Amino acid sequence: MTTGCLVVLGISLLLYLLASLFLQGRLWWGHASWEKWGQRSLMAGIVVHVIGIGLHSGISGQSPLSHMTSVISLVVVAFLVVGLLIELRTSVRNLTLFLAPIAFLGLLYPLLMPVRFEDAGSMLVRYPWLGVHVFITLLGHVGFALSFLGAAVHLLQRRALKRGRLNHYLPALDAASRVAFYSAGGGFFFFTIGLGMGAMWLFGAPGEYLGGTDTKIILAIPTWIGFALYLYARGVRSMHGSRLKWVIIVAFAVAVANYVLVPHRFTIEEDTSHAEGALGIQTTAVSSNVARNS
Amino acid sequence: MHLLTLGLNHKTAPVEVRERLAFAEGDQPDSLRRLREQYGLTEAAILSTCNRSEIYAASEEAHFEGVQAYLSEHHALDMGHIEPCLYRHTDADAATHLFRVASGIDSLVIGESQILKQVREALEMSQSTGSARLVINEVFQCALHVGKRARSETDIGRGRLSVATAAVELAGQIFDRLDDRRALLIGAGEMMELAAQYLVEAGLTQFTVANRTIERAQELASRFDGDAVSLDALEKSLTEADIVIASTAAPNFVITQQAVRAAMSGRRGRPLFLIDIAVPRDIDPAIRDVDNVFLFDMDNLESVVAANRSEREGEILRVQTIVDEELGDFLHWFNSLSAGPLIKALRQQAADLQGDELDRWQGKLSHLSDDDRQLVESILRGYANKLLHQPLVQIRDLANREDGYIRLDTVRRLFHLDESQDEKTS
Repeated sequence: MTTGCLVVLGISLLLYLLASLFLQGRLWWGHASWEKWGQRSLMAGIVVHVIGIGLHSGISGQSPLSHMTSVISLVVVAFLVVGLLIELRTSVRNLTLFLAPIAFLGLLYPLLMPVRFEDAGSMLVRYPWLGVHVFITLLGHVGFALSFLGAAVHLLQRRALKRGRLNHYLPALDAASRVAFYSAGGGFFFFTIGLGMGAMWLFGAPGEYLGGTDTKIILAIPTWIGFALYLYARGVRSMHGSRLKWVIIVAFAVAVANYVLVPHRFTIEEDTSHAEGALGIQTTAVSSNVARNS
Repeated sequence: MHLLTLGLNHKTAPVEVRERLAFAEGDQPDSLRRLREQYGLTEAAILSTCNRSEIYAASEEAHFEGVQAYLSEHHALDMGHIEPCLYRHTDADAATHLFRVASGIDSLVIGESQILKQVREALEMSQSTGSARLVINEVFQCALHVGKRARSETDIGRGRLSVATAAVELAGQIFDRLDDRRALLIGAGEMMELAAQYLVEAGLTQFTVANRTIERAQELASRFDGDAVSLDALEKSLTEADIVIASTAAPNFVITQQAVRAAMSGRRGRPLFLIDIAVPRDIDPAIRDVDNVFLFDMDNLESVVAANRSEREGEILRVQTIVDEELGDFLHWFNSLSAGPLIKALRQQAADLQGDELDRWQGKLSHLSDDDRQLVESILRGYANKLLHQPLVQIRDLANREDGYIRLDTVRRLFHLDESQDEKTS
């Protein structure tokens, strides 16, 4: 990614930080006018962010899915847009107060640690289908993040009400619960498709890829099972208890740990011949037989 | 021009006095007309609510005799009796007072929104009778703007301040929509009727009334198009209800933890909101341990109300900041009004001098052609304008100073202008 693109993304990061400060100021210190400034900063952040992604694609001539920072950027934008749509089109109030900090952290990570994504990025350039897999899986994470947000807000509101207090800024209990449920459903859909695509890519991947022992893949399983359990209990058994919200929180925590703490692991053999993957991807020479921890 | 306010409110007068000075809506057009035509006011507006009666006026003189005389005559009152209850404000103080009123910080219930509507109605009434022109129109428009800003930029209007409305507000923290919820009212007394009324206003349509005597339950249920059940059928009703309000005279708990646990099992954990406004209590406080069950008793509701009140009180300083900001803008405009006639008078004086000089030199300039004569006039006019430019800028600036009136008076003396000349030119 060029310096210019990084600067533009950095500006949007600052705008998200500004939005987070204003909106958290609104939440904790009750400065009503800060909400307006927070929302303006957030909207400006989204616009600058989209420009940054477009700039990257324009300069490099590559799809936004060909670079990890760009992929994550797209995911952060998707998260914000879906969250804002939920707030605008439903009765869930003040969701914006919580969207901005998550967007800030989501974008901060790849910008702070670009090295972690370098090899992953080179893989994405070589295997476009891998990029689609990563993007769709991360879209699943957008749903999970919104679901986590709904669950966390539900528990905060529940705690306030149980203590006989009233918190005007938090969404109503059942609205937060609905956000958690529907977002989990959407996230689960994309996550499952993303995992399926990853498996198909693995099947056709060149050389020896240590998929079977990749911690990233292993840790995706409890996330999938956690959300599957939650959706079954809430959707099929119509259970509404607060404990179910903890299942979402734990499952999402595992997903975040997997994203942040577990490195990508590629072990690909020297191969100068052209190979045809299961998805019909033409692959060319890749690096020597080393385990790369990006 | 001066802005005047004379009136009384809940802080300065008891209700017996306030009700005597209240203006009936039907009387207001005639009152406004008489204030202008018979009592020497240029503009007027009347703000009359259950907590205040105020007359706002624009007048050439900063005297209240006219307003007082009208009040005394209209209400057939001896002013000596109500004098201690009255307050009088002029110019900046009058505008500040109106801004504080419109923002809700001068109200009995701080932050109440009704006052903004009443200020708007007072302006509309004044406009419809031709009593609101330059000053009243501007000061009321600014006040409405202050009121809107106060409510959108601060939390002065947030949170309910009565126990019954706080209960509805709490229901809104659990259920974002009330129109698809069912309320179970246990008891059929007056308090329950009031609570049901608030719930209907909040959008709730489905009611079940449970009472020891089924006839009384049926009577209340029929008013809200609901169902009536006896207390024996409470358990089933608990399963169906989302909001439960209990207020009976029963000596023991009407709703036990066991009953709630059974109901929650049937509800599959859907939230249940219970309000206990009975003393002694009708609902076992131990039900708070049940997941997704939220119980509020009188103490809880009162503490919510107290927290709301305290939150609103904490917003007063922020609202005052808005009042001060808007007051600055208003005073800038208002003070420039006093500079306007003086500036016109000065320009007129310069034009008169120019004409006089041309007339004086008429004989010696008779040989000039029309074009040359116009050129001379143009030179004189340009000279006068350039000479006056800086003083006029300074006059506008002086008008906005605290002691603007004194300084403008000095300018008036300096150029030998009197106020009647100002008025003539304005």
